[in-house]
Amino acid sequence: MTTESKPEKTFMGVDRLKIPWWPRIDYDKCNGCDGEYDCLKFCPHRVYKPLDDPKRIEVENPYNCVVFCKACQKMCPQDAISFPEKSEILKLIKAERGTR
Amino acid sequence: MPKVYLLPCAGYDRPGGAITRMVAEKLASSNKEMIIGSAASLSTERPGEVRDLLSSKTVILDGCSLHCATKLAESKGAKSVKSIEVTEHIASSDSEEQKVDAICLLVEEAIREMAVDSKEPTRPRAEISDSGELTAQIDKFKLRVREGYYYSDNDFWAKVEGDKIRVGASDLLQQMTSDIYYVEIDAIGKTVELGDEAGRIESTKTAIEIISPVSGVIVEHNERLVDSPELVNESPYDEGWLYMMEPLDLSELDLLKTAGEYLEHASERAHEELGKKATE
Repeated sequence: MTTESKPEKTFMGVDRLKIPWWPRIDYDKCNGCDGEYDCLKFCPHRVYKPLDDPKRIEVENPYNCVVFCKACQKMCPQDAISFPEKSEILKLIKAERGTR
Repeated sequence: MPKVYLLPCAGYDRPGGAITRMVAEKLASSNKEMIIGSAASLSTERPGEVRDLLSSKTVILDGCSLHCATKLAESKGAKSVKSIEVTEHIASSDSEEQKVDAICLLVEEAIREMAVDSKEPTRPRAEISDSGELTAQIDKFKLRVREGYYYSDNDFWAKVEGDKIRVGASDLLQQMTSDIYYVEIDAIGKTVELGDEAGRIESTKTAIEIISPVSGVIVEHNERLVDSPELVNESPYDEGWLYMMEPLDLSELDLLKTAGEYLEHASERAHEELGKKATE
């Protein structure tokens, strides 16, 4: 198993659990690619979990998501995936580093 | 007797700092295999210094409870170090000679213990080649990290060259993506922020974004990658570089990892990612 969460992980020296970076799903758009789940197939980090009824995707392991990576967003045929603003996240990371 | 790297904190303003230095001098005079480390050289990552640290058994002499010397050695990738805080083992009423002798005995004991420990199989130690590359063996994979470069947690490197910064992919990244057949870099003149996408890499296994390790203006592409994208796999730190930037904020380099720090980070990742592949 590789999906267990590892809270000791850091990104740029900041506890990963303090960085709110993961995909947000627009459920008005997501249709689970009619059962194909392109994002699920694409992402090797086991961030996603497929739901069956109705077919759509769910974020199961948000902290497995690679900070600043938005590759799955481009794979989505429905344009249903979005991410936070990188500049805001970077600001947060710098602030966290400053307080250590 | 294994080769030993002894790092005294040598901080004269600390209670035991001067003692650590005297102990180092005394032991070095009677043990040719002993290397006395320099905290200053380690801090600036002088190649020979880091090589000595990573290729030897390491004993650290901390002069006080702040343990600066231990923290420094660990930040440069040292593993399984034996630390001795001298103030814990000496009495203020002892003479200087008694203090030095007491700590010398402790160091000799630590070296004997490490020699016994090393007979048991342990995690491979990092080594450094003459070309300034730190390497670590992870199962069947050899991981390389180039000294003097800065590394992002997204596995890209940045190298300062005059007033510009050269950017490339780390050895870990190229090994994880496997055979690269296409590299696309954003247009010359484009400004990208740290963390922004600056292009993409496609391989037989996956497609990844190039996530810029620093903010700046892209001023040059590695044109050779158009016809030979495999250079990223073959020579990630030299011929396979990706693009040059005019940086917007050099202080961002402080947010990145040094070679020693990245090797530690990358080794853990490699154990998870590459080791998994090796055992599948």
